Amino acid sequence: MKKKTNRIGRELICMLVLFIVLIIGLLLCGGYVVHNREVDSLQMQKVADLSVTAAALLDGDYLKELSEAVSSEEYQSLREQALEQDNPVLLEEYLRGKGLYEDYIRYTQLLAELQNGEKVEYVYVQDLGPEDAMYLLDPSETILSLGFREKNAAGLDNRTKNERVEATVSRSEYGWLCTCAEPVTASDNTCPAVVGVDLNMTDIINRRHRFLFFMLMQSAVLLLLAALAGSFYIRKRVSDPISRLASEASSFGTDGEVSDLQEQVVSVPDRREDEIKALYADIRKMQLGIIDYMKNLTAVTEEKERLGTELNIANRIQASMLPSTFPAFPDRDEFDVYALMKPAKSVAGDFYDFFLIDDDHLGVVMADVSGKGIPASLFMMMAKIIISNIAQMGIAPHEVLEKANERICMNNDEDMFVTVWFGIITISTGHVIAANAGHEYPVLQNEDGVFELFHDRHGFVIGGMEGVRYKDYEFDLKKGKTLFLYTDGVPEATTAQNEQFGSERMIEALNRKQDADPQELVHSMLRTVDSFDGDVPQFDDITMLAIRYVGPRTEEDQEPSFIESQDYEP
Amino acid sequence: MLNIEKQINGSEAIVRLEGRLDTTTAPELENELKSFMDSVTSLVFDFEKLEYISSAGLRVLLTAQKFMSKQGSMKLINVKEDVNEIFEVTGFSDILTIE
Repeated sequence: MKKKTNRIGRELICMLVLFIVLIIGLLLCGGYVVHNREVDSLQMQKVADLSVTAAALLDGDYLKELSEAVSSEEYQSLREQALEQDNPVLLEEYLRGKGLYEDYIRYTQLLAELQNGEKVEYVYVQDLGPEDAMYLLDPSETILSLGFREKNAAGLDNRTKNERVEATVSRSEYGWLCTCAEPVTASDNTCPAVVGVDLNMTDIINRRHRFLFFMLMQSAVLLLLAALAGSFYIRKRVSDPISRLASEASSFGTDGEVSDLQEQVVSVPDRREDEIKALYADIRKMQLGIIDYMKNLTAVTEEKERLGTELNIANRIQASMLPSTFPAFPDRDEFDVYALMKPAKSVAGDFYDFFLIDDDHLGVVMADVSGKGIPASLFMMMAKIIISNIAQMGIAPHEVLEKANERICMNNDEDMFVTVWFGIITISTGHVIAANAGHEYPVLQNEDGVFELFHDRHGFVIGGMEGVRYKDYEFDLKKGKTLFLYTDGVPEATTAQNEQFGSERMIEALNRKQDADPQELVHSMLRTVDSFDGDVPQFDDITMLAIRYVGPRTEEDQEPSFIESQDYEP
Repeated sequence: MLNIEKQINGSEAIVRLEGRLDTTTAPELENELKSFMDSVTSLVFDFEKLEYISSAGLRVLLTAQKFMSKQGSMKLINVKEDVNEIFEVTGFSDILTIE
């Protein structure tokens, strides 16, 4: 079995994981941001409320006096001194002298109560300038911090007076703080200071981070579980069935006989209706179709083989009908005859025949049935038997052909016909009486040994029409000379370029072999025709017969003939 | 191999053949003739472009000639020398009307 691949499964899982990550990420980010904003705004509202409350607790006029006193150079130098000696009493004394100390303590305590009661990180009062802020009240510090100047935090630059600083959440050197500042108004409508309130956000932020971490971990676990479950599901529902189908389909028909294929057909899985089940069903249907087709093909092939065998037998039967043992008449040395037939298909429509009518007369037939193949061969068998039967009656050639025509026309619904050359050779003299029913001109070797077409008198083909008349003609076959008979397969052999061999080439070929015996002549002609049409499959049956008249027997071995030669006079 | 062009005017038909009329192509012509021969009384074959005719082709002509003899006439025109020689040799020139 092939190595299992799970590419589709892996891709689907990747898609799934990507999708889940995207969803979780979006949900988490959205939730986180919205929730933070809610919490922040609650905190900012709280810090704003607290700073307004703190501002209401304070007296603007007092703060104005305090600010003025603290920003004086006298105080500032005194403060430096107090810081050096770590002696807050110096500053307390100074404030007492100005009559500001009691209120300083009172307001610091008020702020301290607020700071402790409301769990505020820092509450402080500053005189907020354009660049720096000066501390006035700070319950978290001692009096030494009074008049401490601090550079403004970013975002508070370029302020010209004490005004509201809207609530913000930021990270500073004191940790995450939510800060807001509210101006305190004096009776002359000036603002000598702001009350700043810092809420510690570190806890909230830490909790927020822990929540985020927890959610991420939970998502990761969820993702892992989803991926595992998805992977399992996809493998079970999609990948495995497809892999199984692929491997079963690919092993189908790779080995074994057609009869084994039935077992290799995929079985449709027992699952609810889905595309994969449909796919299995379709492939199963296709495989069954292939099996049917192969069975059909096997049957057709068997039928074809059977036909081939039958044609082979038919071919042998047909061949055995024609005299094919040479020399045909071992005890007759007055003539030498040789013939062959080469069918274009398994069976042929051509035939030749020769037979002794009596001791001194040899009948020779050369015939060609219209068409080729099985119909022509069946017709040929009939024609051959009819003609030889009639010829044996010892009547003249034209009568033989006329009688044969009547017989063949009787049962010839298919309008088939046969061209026949029939001649009777008187063995003792070489005299030939012949008749031609639409057949090719015979070739005769003259006294000088030259082969020439003998333009004989032609009648109509046999089997074409009833009541056709034929005429005999006569010629002499000289001693040592040959008569060559053939069917149109010889002159009409055609090359791939549609060029015909033709009668002229045939005569030329014969004249190159003027002294050859019949067997050699026939075979040399066959070779010439074969080399002429090259690789082109033989188109028509080729049949040839050559008969050489050697000469009469000497006086002593001449036997009297039984039939008078006058019987054959036309 | 064989190009058959027929032209039918009422009861008269002209069939022009081009190429070779042999075992392979004769059935084509036979089927073609069967399709209209019942309805014509005059059948003319124009053999001007016919290169070759084999015995299978002669058979189709014989069938056509026998059929047309019963219900009208059939003739061949523009027959080439090569084809005419085949008619002569087979004796078909005796039964066909060749002009």
